[in-house]
Amino acid sequence: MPKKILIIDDDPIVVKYLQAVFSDNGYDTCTANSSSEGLEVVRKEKPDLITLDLQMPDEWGPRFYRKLRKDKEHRDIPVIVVSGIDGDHAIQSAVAFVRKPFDPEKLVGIVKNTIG
Amino acid sequence: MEDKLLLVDDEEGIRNVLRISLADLGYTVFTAADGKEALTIFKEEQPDIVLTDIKMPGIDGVELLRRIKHENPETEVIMITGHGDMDLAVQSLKNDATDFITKPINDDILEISVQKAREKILVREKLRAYTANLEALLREKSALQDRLSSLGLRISSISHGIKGLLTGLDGGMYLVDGGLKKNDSDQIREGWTIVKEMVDRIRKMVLDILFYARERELKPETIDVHSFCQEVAQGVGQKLKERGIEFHQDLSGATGSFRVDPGYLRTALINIIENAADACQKKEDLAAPKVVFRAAEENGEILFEIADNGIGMDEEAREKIFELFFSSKGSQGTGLGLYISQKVVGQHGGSIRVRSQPGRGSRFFLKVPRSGPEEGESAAPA
Repeated sequence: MPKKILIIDDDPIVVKYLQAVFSDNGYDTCTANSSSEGLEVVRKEKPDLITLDLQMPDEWGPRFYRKLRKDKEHRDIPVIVVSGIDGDHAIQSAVAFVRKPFDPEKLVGIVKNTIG
Repeated sequence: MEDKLLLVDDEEGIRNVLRISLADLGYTVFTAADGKEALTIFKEEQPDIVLTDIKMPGIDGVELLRRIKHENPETEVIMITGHGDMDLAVQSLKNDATDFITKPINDDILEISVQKAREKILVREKLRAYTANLEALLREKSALQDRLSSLGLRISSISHGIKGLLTGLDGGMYLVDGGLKKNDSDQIREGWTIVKEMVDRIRKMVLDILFYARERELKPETIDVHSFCQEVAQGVGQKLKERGIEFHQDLSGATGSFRVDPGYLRTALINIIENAADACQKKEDLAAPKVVFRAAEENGEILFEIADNGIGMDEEAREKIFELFFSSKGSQGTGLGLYISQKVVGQHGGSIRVRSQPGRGSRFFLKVPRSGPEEGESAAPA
């Protein structure tokens, strides 16, 4: 069964882009356009990995991350930050920090190293 | 300008001889016969150097020295002493006299003494100039630092927007590429739509930045208000319709002519109308998104009104919208549009007001006087 990646980003075009990149490389995807929706999708879809934007309206990525870490069942899901913000300390235990605009092959490489 | 020197001696013969010697040295010489007269002249002429006899009736030399130093501590005072004035000489020293010369006065010694006083003054002036320079330099440095750090702030806020747009562009191209490989025309179409939208947005951003950076003078022309408005409405109305937004115009009150820079004022209006459209599209489940553009005469001025039924703004946003690089559109805004609009309207001698509530749409009011900008008013943003 293919591994599933949750994409959290408020920009629908970026979401579509990441979806295409991941599905072209054999992954399933699910999406959320906000932090709060992200948590719902995590519980419903139980993804194997999450890509997270930092700057989003209402709740920013770091807050999603804190909430995720408090959720016992899902706290160990690896998170890759994909953001245009220069600040890789916002989420220290992220698997990787990928700056927008990103190289899709590099991103896929990180994903493969993390979840195979 | 010649340096001023005040010579004080109760003996007329000495005054006359010394006056000639000092004038030969290049000084403008004022003379006084006693301390009282000396103080009057000192206050009027503010000489740099005072040469005074130490023993005089009334206010003596030491007392005069004290009062002059009190008046202006930077005055150089040279004391003329006779034999046996040692005590007075010591007192003078304590009161910061520059030098002593003894009677009978030797011209060379006089010249050297006055020259020393002159040098002290020059050194002090140089020191003062250096200090002033240093202070100016420090001020400049901190002003520069301020500018650089605010520029840094501006660049970082704009760079986030640019990164978002470039990522979107990458996304569009990725979809087109993939679609071509898989021969999937739906995906190609989808990708191409994204590419076009991103290019449009990048173009808008680049043009905004160029507009912001450009420095040119307003070129006011006297034009017909109604046809100007119609031209604005036509261009932008078509775009809004393509985005599924209803566009109403009411230009019946827009009569006569006004003096404006049409290109600039058009930009100012279009920025606001496009914002209105964005505000409509951001409101979810908005059944009939609508933007209204009105123009009419009001108290001898032209009043433009742009109203939408979009998401509206809270107080915080209302206060900040005209600031440079403030944007409520996240990565989709440059924070330049309204800044530019306000600048342009201001340069036309007009004003912008806004009324808005969250969820209840926004209304922008632009007032532009018919007389327009002063000739040659700089269009350079501050």
